[in-house]
Amino acid sequence: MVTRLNSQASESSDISIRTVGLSKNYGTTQALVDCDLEVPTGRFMALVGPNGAGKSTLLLMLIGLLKPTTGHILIAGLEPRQHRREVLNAVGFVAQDRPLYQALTVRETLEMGSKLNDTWDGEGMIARMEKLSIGLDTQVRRLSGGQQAQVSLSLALGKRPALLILDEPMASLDPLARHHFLAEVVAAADERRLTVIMSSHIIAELGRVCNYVAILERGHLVACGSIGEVIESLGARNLADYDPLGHGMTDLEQVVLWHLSRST
Amino acid sequence: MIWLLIHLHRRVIWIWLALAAVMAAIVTALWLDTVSTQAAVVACMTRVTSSSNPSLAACSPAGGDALVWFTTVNHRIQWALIAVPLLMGVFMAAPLMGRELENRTHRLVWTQGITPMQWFASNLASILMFCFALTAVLLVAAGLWLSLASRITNDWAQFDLYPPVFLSYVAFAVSLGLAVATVVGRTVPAMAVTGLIWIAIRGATGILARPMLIPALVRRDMSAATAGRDWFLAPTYLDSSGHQMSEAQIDGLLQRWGGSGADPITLLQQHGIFMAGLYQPASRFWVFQSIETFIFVMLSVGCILVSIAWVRLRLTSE
Repeated sequence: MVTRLNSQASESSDISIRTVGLSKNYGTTQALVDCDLEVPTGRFMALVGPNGAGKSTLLLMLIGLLKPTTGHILIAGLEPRQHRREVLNAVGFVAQDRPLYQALTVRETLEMGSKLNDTWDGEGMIARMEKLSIGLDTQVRRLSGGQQAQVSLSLALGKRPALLILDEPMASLDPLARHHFLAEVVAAADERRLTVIMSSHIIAELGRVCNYVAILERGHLVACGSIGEVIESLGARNLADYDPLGHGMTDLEQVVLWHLSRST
Repeated sequence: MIWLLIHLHRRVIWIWLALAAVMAAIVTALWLDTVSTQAAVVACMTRVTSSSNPSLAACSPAGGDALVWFTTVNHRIQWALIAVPLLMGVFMAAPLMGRELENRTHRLVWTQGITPMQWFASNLASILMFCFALTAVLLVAAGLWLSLASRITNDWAQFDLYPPVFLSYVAFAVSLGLAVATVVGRTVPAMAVTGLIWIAIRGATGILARPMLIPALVRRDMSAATAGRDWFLAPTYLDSSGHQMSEAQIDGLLQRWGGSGADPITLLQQHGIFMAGLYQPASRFWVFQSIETFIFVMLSVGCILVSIAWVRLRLTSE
């Protein structure tokens, strides 16, 4: 059962991620505007927003793969582009579309992780693959989408990161594969006390596991904080209107719907 | 990173190793066959070619047939070897980078403790080392053939196969393939563009620019200009004071003097205008090798700088 109660979140005051005045322009298009974000250590943050809201742009800047137009980023106190090596060691990242080398076997993919990273949990990742019944000598191209997602997650977890960033990792997965994937992320986050940022369109499932939320809309960060804080800032009476049929929406779903409906 | 590249491209590596081995074996076999079975003809043709008044009649009847055979084989070997750098750029370098960007696997590597610059440098160094190693194998075999060809034909005819320029062509093809793929970001278009640019630049330098790298010398004796180890470029005309005349000037003079039905050459000679030959002397051979090598090394450096700039400024800042 994929559950993570909000009360289980770490109350640590340490800040894992901090951005100040972060902006990114693509030519004349503003992808992210003046974003001030703080994510405390140990939180499981859902990064949500419609297509083109700037989610991937923000995540790529957090790991140093994109250069901000203006503003600053600190990951565990380090600027990603100035301390690239240290930040890469501390961050596990699963990119959108979960790119993998299709010609390699699972074993070779994990070996690649051990060759390219300073630290690597080789035995742990092999055990993880065996637990998930993913053949180590199977070529990646022969794996299902769900299995490939698990291999991508292993590459991110194998380096023993303190921060896990997942950019739409469940896109194009079937419901069962999504469930398994999310369960693995939650288990790893609990076991390793990770800070997790996951962007996704699948808010219903995220709503059951995250305890922190950031909502992006047209490049603007419109809400950020624990679910409770965001609900409080909105007013509980407003939220009830967004589950009029009593579908048992999670708090996250209601918060996101409230914001999105307000903007349209 | 080297481990990853070897594992990712092991099939391509084996194919190229096999191709290089087969090619080297064929060239070596042809050299052995020519040296062993046609030694007498080769010796005769060598004497004839190096004489001041070459005449293959001296080697007839076998000399003529052997020369035709040798010329045909020589052309085929040259074209096959000249195509190698092009094939390396189109089928090795461009896909190496194009597939990474197309499949977005570069982002996988960039988040595995490898910085974009380390990634690019590893790709560049690995493919350059591999291509140079393959080229070295081919050049050993080509060297055997060249040792024979240079006795029978002019060194300038085999200019493209000498190690300095050949290695610079390889470096350029590889760095061009990487640069185009980095900028284009798609495999097949990158392969096509690499091929077109390489052919255009190689054609422009080999055919148009090379004869003019150093101003040609003029020799009044046409027969001497076309013989020996020098590179005969074109016939020209000299006036009585030894200045070169353009074809337009000659045509104008012939039209003015024409009408009498006299032979044009005789007519020109009567007015003190003589045919001469433009040529590059054999002593400039290695100077030309150095100049052309320098040009292609600089082009390679330019391509590498474009790639680095694109990785730094666009792929990580776009």
